[in-house]
Amino acid sequence: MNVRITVNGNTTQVPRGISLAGALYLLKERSFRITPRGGEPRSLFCGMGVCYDCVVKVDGRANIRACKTEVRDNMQVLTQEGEADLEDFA
Amino acid sequence: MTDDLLIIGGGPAGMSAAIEAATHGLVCTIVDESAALGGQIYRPLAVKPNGQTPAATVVRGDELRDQVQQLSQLINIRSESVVWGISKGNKFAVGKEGEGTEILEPKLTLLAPGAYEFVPPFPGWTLPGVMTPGAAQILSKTMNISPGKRVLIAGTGPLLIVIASQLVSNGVEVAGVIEASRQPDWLRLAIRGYRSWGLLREGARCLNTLRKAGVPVHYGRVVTRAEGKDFVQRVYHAPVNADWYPDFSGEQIESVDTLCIGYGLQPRNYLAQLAGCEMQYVDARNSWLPVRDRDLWTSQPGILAAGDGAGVAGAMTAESEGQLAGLVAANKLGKIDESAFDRLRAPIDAKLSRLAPFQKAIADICRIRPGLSSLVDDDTIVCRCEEVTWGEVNAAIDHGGTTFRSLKVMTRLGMGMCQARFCWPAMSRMVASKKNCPVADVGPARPQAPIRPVPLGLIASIPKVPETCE
Repeated sequence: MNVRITVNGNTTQVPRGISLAGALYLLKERSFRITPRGGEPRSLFCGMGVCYDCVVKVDGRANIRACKTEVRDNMQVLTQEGEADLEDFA
Repeated sequence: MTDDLLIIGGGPAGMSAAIEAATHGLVCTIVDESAALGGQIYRPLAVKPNGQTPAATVVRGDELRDQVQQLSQLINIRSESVVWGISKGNKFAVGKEGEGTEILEPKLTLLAPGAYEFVPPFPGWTLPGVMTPGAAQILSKTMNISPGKRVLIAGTGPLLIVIASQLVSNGVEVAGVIEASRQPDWLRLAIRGYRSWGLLREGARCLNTLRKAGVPVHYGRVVTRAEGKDFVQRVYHAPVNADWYPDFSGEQIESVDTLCIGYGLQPRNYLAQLAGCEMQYVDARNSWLPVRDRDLWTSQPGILAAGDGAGVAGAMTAESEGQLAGLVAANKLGKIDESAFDRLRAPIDAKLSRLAPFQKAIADICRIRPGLSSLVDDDTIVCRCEEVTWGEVNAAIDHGGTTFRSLKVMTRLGMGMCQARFCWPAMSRMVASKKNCPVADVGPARPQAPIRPVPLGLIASIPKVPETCE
């Protein structure tokens, strides 16, 4: 019923089938990223993949929409700070 | 094998079109961004609810998914895929991460991309905890996750009370509903009825749930700003006049940790623009829509458009339009003759005409009024992606930037990952109100391929570069 994901180094169990945005909400991670220009926290906004505000780093890849990504076992998640590095897009 | 009908979007319109077309023997492909069909409104449950009966929209979604499944020999589903480009001769670039891009050249195409919420900028709207009602609904309804401890719901439209009552039923504390339009308008809607008793009954049921839970519904007010450190903590709302200009002296404060705010829906119109369909600004719908004839053909040969993406009118209208589109495609490709076509379309036409007046009345009540453009101050971010402020855009307008392209070049407005989907619908209204001209004169955003951020690998994987990818 559950999958194990690691968010910013902390490994925890969340229900299978939910989105990563849902999982971050369950884990009380309200800030998904810090913006590059204003240094402001952002989080889930449109919830349906249109606004790209909820992007996080998943398994080393940056700018992944948390709302459109289903949690998987052993998923490594990092909240994003500022602009993503170029190598994160590989 | 060449598809008879390519359907872009697997919501109510897309699924209904596929079912109808395949019933008449057409080979169809549905392309959808999500893992499961359903779109936003018919989205399946991610987590089984504990003992509760599933919502009617979930049940209806399951019925349509079952029907599509039964026709799986004729309906091919490309899930988690995106149409990121359209080139001359109706060639569609369909990408799937990890797999690459394929160019599809169907005989006919239906655009059924659906809609998303309209949220005009106001101070504090980028704070975590401020989200669309739809986002809260997905968390609560499909995953059984509470969006917050104490939630305020604001904006306009029938979805607000539906979502508020769903949250209440799921045990979330709802501080109140702030509806910009006036209560007498909604009461008149109920008196007229428009033969849409099912929808009215649903509305009454939601209001009753809210009343029992002691949740107040405030009409004729808008949220003027949100405040908080790192996430929303306080929300201000004020009464508005008939044009929705707020009277700030009447501001009240709510202490909440979540604000769900949305002023109705915007069609996803980028595909239609990219395909070269003639577009028109429809004031009553606050949006640019593809011009269609009564058979749902756009101006672009071979391309049909149905559902909210062609003019927001709700799931029932979308289903009927999808069904009609499937029928039109079957007729066009000679699978049904004219007399069968006329006979089969008559009940669909009748249903659409029955639904139209009610949808029109709701759209009129919830029509976006100019006062909503007056909430920003100079520091308010108007482009969430590129963090462009109203002060910057305002100065650029004063320097002659009045079109999407000029403001984009001058300020970076609309250059981010959402590709202007969130900023431009509101900004075009603000340019219009500053220039004192109709919104139609300001023009739509100008989408270009790729119309979604896709990895370069997806673009590089095209087998042969098409003639133009504009």
